[in-house]
Amino acid sequence: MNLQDIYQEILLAHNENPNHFESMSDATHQSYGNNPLCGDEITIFVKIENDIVKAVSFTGEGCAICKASSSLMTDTLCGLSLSDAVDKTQKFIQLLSDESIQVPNDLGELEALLGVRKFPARLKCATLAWHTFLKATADEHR
Amino acid sequence: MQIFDAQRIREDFPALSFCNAKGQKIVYLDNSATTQKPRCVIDALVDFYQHTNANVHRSFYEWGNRATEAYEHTRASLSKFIGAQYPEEVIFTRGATESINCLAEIIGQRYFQQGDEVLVSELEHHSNLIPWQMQQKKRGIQVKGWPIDANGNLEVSALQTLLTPRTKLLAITQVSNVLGTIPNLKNIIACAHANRTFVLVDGAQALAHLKINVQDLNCDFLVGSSHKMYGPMGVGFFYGKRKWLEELPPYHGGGTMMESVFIDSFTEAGIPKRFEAGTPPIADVIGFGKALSYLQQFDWQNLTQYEEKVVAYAERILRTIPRVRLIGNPEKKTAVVSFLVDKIHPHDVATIVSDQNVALRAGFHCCQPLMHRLGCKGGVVRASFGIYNTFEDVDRLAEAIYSVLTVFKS
Repeated sequence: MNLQDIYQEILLAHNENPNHFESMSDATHQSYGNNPLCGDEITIFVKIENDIVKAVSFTGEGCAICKASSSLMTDTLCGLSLSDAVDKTQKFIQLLSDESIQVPNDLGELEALLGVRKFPARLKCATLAWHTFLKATADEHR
Repeated sequence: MQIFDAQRIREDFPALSFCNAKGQKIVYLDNSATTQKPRCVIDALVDFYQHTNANVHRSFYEWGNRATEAYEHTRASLSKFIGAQYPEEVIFTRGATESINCLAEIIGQRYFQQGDEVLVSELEHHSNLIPWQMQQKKRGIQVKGWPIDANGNLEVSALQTLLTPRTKLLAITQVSNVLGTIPNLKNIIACAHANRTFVLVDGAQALAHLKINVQDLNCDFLVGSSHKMYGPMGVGFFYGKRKWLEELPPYHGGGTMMESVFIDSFTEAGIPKRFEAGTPPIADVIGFGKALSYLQQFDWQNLTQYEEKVVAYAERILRTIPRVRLIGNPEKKTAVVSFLVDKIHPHDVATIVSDQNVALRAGFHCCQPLMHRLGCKGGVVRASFGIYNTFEDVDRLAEAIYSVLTVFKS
């Protein structure tokens, strides 16, 4: 367990200046997610047009890991087809939760979040945005 | 007056010698969540399973007799420890939470009528809120809140305006697990009794820090947990005045709590057995007894004063650290310091200090209504102290918080 694994520069930067940290007036989907034990709470906004995720943004309050993960998620999912976005989200949640899963080599910046695999108490912080994205778009992929 | 020697006390607690990979000794500051156990308590558990393992109250052989004797000995010690008049006023449960759930249900069954009110303070832990809210749903009573003032105190003058002819019970903590507030219970209880209102005291956070006497307090009920008093987990108790316990119905049905049983009916046992259905956690109760005798070696005035000094030192040092803000400023407090570091979430603070083997807690601390009142949306960071914490522990805490500031440079 190493502190640098979890508080990487890249995450601290996303926490300080998160991307797409705003509400979205023309969102087609949105959902609220929270971690009742710790107080992280975010709202995820999604705009889907012709089955393409045109835009993702978020608002709310949370710890550095929660905020950085939300910011990275908005970067990752923008522009994907809805089914690819859902697939990517589900796989990433699994990857964070299960240390035995081999790390794919196309993660890019998301790799910085893998440190939470050694900090199980922080897993919920890292996955909140992703779960909330699935919740927001649940009607489309159920 | 003898000197309170926390450094020597540490030697009694094997867990406190734990070092992390960098060779840093544990600084355990999560005593409000659970305390560490002295070796004599750990030994008592092993000893029971090695030499006495038998059920209580119904075995005719030596082990059974010894188990029963040791189990009842803890009841007698505990009743003395809290200043009860009779040992049978002490009922063993799985913990303070189960105690309140049990009492809410049986008090509700016996005394609550639709339209009655239960008053709860804003300092309460969820375990002293939700059981009453469950009664609200079940019996049509009203749960009402007693707000704290800006510093985290409960004003008796405010209580007088909140009590009504329908207020059946006041549920109140003896020490806040977030702010450390010690409400003036004696005055509060007198005020409630003048209104013919029962008072249930949640002593979970108080019993390891303050000398308690239930007869002097004159509370009707009091609950506590062994594991917050240097004893084993899985055991707690409630105290009730004998006159009330004798009127109250059983909670669980099963062995021990009955006198005669027929195929379609039973008669209830007297107290305390009426409230202790099934095999209790015997080894843990006996271990709890050991924890009580361990605590009894201390002069309580010394113990309380020592802990207050460490807490005051912690507050003083924390105030000197940039970006740190203490939460609450109650008139009388013990054992707990809650704080925030500006622009850094409590979870991040607790995770980063853990890297230096400093154990803190961060979050809502099972007190969401209090967090709302304090305006702490992401919760708070809490350092909570016990008999083995030293001034050096506070210095290590301060160092660790400086390292948080280093990680979050901006």
